[in-house]
Amino acid sequence: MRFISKHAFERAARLSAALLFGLSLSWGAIAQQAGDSAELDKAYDAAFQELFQDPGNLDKSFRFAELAVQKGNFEAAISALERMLLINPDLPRVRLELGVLYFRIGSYAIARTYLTRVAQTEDAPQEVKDRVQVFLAEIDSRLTRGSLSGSVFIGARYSDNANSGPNSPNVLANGVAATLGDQFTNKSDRNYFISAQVNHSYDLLTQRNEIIESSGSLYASEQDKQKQLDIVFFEGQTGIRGPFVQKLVPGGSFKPYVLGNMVYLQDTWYQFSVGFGANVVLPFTQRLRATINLESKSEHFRNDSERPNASQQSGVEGSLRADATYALTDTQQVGLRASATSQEAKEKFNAFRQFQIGGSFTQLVAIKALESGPASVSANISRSMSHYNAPNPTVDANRKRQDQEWRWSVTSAVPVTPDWTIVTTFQRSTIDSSLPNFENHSAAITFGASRRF
Amino acid sequence: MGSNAKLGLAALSVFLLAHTAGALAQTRSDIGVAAAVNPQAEGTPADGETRTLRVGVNVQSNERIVTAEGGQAQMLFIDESTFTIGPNSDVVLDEFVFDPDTGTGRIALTATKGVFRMVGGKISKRTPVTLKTPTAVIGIRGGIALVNVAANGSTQATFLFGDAMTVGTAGGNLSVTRPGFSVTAASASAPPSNPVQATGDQLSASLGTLEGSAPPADEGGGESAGGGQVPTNQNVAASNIGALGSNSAPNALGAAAPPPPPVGGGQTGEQTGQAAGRQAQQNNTLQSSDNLGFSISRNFVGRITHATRLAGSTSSTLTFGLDRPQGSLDKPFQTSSVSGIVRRKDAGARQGAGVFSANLGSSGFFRAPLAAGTKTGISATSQPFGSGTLTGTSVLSSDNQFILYELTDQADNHRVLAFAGIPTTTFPTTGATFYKARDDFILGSRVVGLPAADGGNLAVTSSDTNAAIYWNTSLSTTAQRPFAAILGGVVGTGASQQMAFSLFVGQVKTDTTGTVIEGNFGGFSYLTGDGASPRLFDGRFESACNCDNTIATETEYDFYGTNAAHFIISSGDLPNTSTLSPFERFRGVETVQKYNPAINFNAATDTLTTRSAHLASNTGVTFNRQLTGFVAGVGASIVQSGGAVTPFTFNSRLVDPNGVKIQTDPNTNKITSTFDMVKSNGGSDVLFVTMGDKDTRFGTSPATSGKSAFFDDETFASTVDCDGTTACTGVATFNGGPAQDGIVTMVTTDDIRGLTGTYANCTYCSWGLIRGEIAPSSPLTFERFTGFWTAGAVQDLAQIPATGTATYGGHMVAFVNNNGAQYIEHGNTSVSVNFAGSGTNGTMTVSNFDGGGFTSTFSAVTATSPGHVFTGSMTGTGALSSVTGSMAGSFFTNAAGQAVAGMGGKVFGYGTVGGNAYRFGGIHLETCTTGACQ
Repeated sequence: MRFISKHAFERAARLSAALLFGLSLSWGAIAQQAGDSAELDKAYDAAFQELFQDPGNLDKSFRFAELAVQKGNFEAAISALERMLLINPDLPRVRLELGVLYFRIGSYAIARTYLTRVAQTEDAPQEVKDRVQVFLAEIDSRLTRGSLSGSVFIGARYSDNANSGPNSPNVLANGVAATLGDQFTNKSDRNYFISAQVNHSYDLLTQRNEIIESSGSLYASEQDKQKQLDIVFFEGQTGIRGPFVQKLVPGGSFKPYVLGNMVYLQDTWYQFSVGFGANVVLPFTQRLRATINLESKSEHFRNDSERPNASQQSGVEGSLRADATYALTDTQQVGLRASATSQEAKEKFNAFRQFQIGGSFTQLVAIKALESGPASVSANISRSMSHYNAPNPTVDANRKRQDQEWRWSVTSAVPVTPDWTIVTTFQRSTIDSSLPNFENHSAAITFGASRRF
Repeated sequence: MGSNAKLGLAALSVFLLAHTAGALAQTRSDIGVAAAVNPQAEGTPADGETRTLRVGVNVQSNERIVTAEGGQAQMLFIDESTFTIGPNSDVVLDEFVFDPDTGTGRIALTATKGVFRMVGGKISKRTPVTLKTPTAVIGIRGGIALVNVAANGSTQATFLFGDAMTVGTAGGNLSVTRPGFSVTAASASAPPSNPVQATGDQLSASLGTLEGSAPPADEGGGESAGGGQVPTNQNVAASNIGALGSNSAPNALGAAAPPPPPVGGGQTGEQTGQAAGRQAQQNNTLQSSDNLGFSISRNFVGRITHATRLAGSTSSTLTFGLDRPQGSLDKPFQTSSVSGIVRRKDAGARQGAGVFSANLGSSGFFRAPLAAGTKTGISATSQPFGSGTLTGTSVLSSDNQFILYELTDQADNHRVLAFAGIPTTTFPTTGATFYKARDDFILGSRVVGLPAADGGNLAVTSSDTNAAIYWNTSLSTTAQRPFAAILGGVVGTGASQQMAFSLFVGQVKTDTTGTVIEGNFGGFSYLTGDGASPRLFDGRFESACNCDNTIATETEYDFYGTNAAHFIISSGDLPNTSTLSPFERFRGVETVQKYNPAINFNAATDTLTTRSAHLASNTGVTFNRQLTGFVAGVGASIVQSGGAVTPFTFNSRLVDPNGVKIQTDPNTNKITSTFDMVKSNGGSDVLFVTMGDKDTRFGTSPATSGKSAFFDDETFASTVDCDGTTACTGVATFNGGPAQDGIVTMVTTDDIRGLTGTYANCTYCSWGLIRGEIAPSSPLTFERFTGFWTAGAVQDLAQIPATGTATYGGHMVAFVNNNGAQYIEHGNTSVSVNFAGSGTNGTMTVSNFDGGGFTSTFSAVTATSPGHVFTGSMTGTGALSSVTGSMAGSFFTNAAGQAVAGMGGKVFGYGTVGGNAYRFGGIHLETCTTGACQ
């Protein structure tokens, strides 16, 4: 198998996860390659002693610098190379390597200084200048105070139960067996959609590396037949992320945020929410990473002629969610998630408590024909249980609604170009309910193309 | 040895000595070595002379290093750290302590001017390297920093890598942790500036001072001016440095790009959007019970009827109402669809737009809008009777199980009634259900069974609980589920009063055709100008829904909804005779809906704390017993041909309280009642009626008879409807002989609806209405009468106290015929009794009765068999001063066995008021207030 760089995996996995769940998969730094062996240490120490005894010896200086890089002691290599510049400043290759060394230790400003000097040197070898440009481009992106990234996903979806109609037309109405009107039974349909996510971060240039993180999501879908499901959804949130949990987990971050969203159905605004939350990222190890999210939002539904009682759903939703990912290997990752949601509503029969647990497995697959990175296949399964607070007299005044849902899906993401990825998802959902009105199953297939920016 | 050799040896010795000295000097306090030098750079050890630094020269603790313009040096220390000194710099290596075994130590320097770069080694990983300047103390932990000390001492420090760089002045301290940020300490007293991002120019300038200013002259790998080999680009290219660094892609190297921010909440727009859409759809479906979401198709049965004639006629012989043959005017349906059951909601909620659709087979469909509750102004969109539009009211019960339409055909002004519901399959088996009667739409009447023009349109109260079914059938196999109702009331008082009443007695029975309700009703009314004769209306009601369209095998549904919440009745079948019964006055279709008030009955004390106006809770005391009592009222004898009317009063014929006998049977929920009546003032004929257990029309078996209804000892009703002398023999007799026809109905009541007043109420002492008509064979008259009765448990005389006195209070109600005007009057009664053995006597005062009252004295309670009775005369007072009468009564016992807990009896009389004939007949009923009756 061709070696798949961790960053390619990260990008592919991140893309597919973003499409599925919006999770970011970050692997963290992969352990440095073998260099911490005892023999390397021994050779390094010996090289230092020799250098110390004969510091003007170039061979010994280079030898020491190479061993220092192998050992990961970049500072020592920096010293050795800077020493050369003190003697002979006309060394573009040394400046290039110094720039790369400073890049490696994350000191981008000084790295850029060294590399820029090379770029400005007229007689520097072209291959040196070419490498300089590669690194300068990367440094520029990492030093930008404000960064914008995101993705767009355009596709089509077919579902055999687009309207979430019940399995059977035999339902309950006021506790009496009734037959559901045909227009409300399960209907298959296609829809065409566009989904976009934009992330923006702005470095506040504080010593604690705090940044303002903002994101926005847009989803717009048009149904072929079930026009009542034509939906436009906006969501935005912003907050400040900082290393407030560094003491707990090095590299960890905490972000309080505010959010808002709005839903349009059939070109009429149907619901808006405002709320706040907190997100904690805990990179325990290079392979294990967890995210915890706590959120509360006030949801407001609006009545209209088609949905005259929508406002009965208005209320406050509180949720707690935890996700964890673990890289089994460089090409495999598993994930676990659990969440608890409490939804209040104006009418108690719309209020519920929901518990959900799920897992995922992602496999990267190298495809020789693909130059843009490996493809990925993800399998997801989740189980949720919802308990409603009170019976709905419209359905049955003596029976509360309790739903249990199984949902599983398989997603493949194939990067056909560096920018575009073809995504295919098959999903199946089965809901068992204490009320026949809400028992339903559905299968859907989604096909689309995604582009990151 | 020659001199040359000697010199050479001396030179060698000097050389050796010099190097030996250097070697000795290295070991003495060496902390590092000059690794690179551009002249001029000089070092002055603490206890030594100034020397020019060259590559390889060792440096010592406390050595001062000074560089001239163009002079630069890099010190390589034994802990692997390096300290680079730029031109015009002055620095002292204050302290250097290092333990190579532990890798710990301490480095401290003092700089007065110049540019410096510190790259930390092993010591700085544990202990910050300190660099003291004229304005600040800089600590560098585990990293790399640039420090620029100006000539005036102002210090600028730039953190490039590591854990942290601290900058402290007398004014404060701060820490820098982000690479590329600088802090300036302008003076020793001022706090250091906040960290700012170092500019490229700033960094470039600093780096420039720490690099050689120009390539060395000898670039061929030779030695530099300060010693050491000169590196070349070829050296670098030949080395392996590039392979370990720049040859790799940036992202492949150690520093990973920061991950993109995670999305709070974890759901993409697609997931959330889809979830929102699904939720909206499900809720819309849920709420579609309000708007076209559901159809209920199971067991929905009903009927639609188009009245062929308008209701209304005052003639007692004219039949009116509608014919009820099978055919186009009256259409049952067994299946129907109801699209969009509309849920009843609170005010303000959407009422919905449902549709009711009834499939009438070849006749087509009946379709009309359906809304929650009652909705007026609706029009049917399809009807089977013709082309006219049917407009009117729709009613959907709150449980969505019963639907009613009251419509008027705009083409011919005829009324149409349509109903449908989900038949009751499980009936109650205990307790009673109270019902509220809906107005009779076909007749346009508030009083069910009465035509509108015959009193049905009086503004009488019809919304009270006034009908009940008693479900308890567990006591015996022959027990019936009785039904009784009293509807209507009076409007006004005195001679201007008008009245309309309808009394129902029936049963709920289950046979092969289903569970149905059937029975008789008897109505009467007095309207202005009616004269002496009340209007009487009699009829039979039965299951309204002949829903399989075949008479022979009728499947009848009368009850709809859970626990028989609704039922509907229509007029009964005609008898299989060619002539209509003269008493068959009415036909129609009525509906009755359930009403369930809170009735509080305390069985332990045998007291009803709340009692409906007309029919009480069924949870009273019940047992087999005979109640005896009294009856009195007014009536009119109408000659069948010619119509001459002779008014009369009547009362219980027998002096003892056996003029009225009521035998209760809680095991079968039935009663048998006999009324033995004699006219007074207007004749002396005797009318006898037995009601309850015998009915020629429906068979003689009590099991099939629906002629009585027994709820408890205070709530019952009975009726008789005999047709023909044979059937009437022993049942309805006139002067001992059988009548041709007899229809009589009696029912208990608590008050007279519309007639204010206080009404007595006691256990085992009931009172109520009786109305009826007997047509004797001879003479050929109609003997019509209305009156009141009272009956209770009458003890033998021996049970009455022999001593003591008591007072009683209660009411007197009576029918009055005053100069042809008929009305019901109420008065208050007050009775004083002196129990003196056989001499028990008392006085009764009636007040507020028709502008006057009565006084009465009774004495000598006498024994009867069984029971006892007291009698007295009545003298009118006030406006009734010219009226006299008679009264009689008995004491009634209660459940506790108190023989004189109550008292009641008959009152009747005649006289003149204002010179016009005045007759009254009714009852009085009192309960104990004080004294020996308690």
